[in-house]
Amino acid sequence: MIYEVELIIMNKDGVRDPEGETIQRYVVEKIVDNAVKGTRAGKYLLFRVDSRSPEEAVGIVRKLADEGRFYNPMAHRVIIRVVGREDCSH
Amino acid sequence: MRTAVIKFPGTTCETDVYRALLEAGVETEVVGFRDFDPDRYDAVVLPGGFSFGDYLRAGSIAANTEVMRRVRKMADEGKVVVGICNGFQILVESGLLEGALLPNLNLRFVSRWVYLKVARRDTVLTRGLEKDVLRMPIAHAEGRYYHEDPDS
Repeated sequence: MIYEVELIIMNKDGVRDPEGETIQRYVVEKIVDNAVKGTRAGKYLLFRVDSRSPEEAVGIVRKLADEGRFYNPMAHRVIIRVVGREDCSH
Repeated sequence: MRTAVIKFPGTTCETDVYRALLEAGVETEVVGFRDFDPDRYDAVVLPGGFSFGDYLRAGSIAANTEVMRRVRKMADEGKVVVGICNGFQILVESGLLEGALLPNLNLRFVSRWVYLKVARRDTVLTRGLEKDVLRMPIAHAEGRYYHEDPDS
């Protein structure tokens, strides 16, 4: 099975995010008054992972993120989640 | 001191460093990142630029290359390792230096002259310096140094 796995890299809470702050101030607050209380920007990667289970696919991307330093653990946090799958059996 | 100046794809300042080292009387050569043999050198400089297009984060792709494992080996052996600008970002991304370099708060590429205070004189770069304040150029988009424990 091929799983589509997202890796989202964001600044940790408490680490300022100037891109998110700018989007909030100059775009979000122009369109809606009070409903949106905050905006955080991040980096998005989508992997197609051949694995036996969604848990294994997440584990593979976790290994990639850690060993490839896709994020700096001092400043960033990551979200890893399976968002789709393709059955590649014939 | 035989010194290598490493060039990654996107490195732009290797010639500046090469000429500066020659002027300082240092034996030096520019080496492509795939051709670097750490046993041939006493020191290595990672110059500035935009290695691998600053993809993912400035310096992060270069930090994952085999050459950085060799640079780490040199550091472990007590050899001199210097990173300038993007080279410094690469050292941080590789974990050789602690911390992180985050996007500037004004979201702009900053290119200007700044003043630096000399905090330590026991390093290979600052030993013998007479001035307490140095005027230095900076040029970066990700230059906001962050450490979760600034007192460490």
